[in-house]
Amino acid sequence: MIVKFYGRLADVLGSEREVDIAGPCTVEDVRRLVARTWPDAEHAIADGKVRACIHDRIVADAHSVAPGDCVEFFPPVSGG
Amino acid sequence: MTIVAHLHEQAFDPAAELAQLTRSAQGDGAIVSFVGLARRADKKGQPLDRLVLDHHPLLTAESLRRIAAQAAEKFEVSHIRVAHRSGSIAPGEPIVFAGAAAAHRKAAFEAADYLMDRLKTEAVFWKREEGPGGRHWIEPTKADYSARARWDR
Repeated sequence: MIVKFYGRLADVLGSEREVDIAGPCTVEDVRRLVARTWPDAEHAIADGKVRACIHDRIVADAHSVAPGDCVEFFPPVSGG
Repeated sequence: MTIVAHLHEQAFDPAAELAQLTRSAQGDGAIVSFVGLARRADKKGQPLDRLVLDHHPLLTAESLRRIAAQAAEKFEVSHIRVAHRSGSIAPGEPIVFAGAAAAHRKAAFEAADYLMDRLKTEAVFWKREEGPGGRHWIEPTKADYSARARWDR
């Protein structure tokens, strides 16, 4: 599964990574897997202000992730 | 009614944005516009080389269009125009243009203010300052979120 990172998360993890997920899972599971796989990013990815996005929609941590989905993680956004 | 919201990956000209808005606003009584510029120093007074805005391939432009459309819906305005940069922005260069035209000035002032409060907290960008002291990610402050929240009251 492809996982993408933006903003300060991309500083720690790069903009795109591949993770191995076996079977059905949730966004929360993906977060945990990222934290386990790249311990340097554990703090950053666990931050409650970091939101997940699937198919260009913000989703909750309990949201199911289907095989082939790409999960994108967004730190707080700010324009202007 | 026109609602325009553009994402610019290269420098844009705020004067041209205002000229375009003015052309659209024939018959209106008021135009209010705001231009945000990249600063030369950070909050601690340290010099900055650039401001960098990362954007999402789809959601950034969509967020600009949504915010512009909701400003047009909320206030008695006839035209809304937003231009927003992404990429590397040199000190002094424009980051954002937010403009509103209306029959009367109050609605135009409010719409421009609203646009900026929404853009600060909801436009899909990730923003960092870079300078001799390193790089620093900028997120909305409590004041930014409070300014945004007052429009819901």
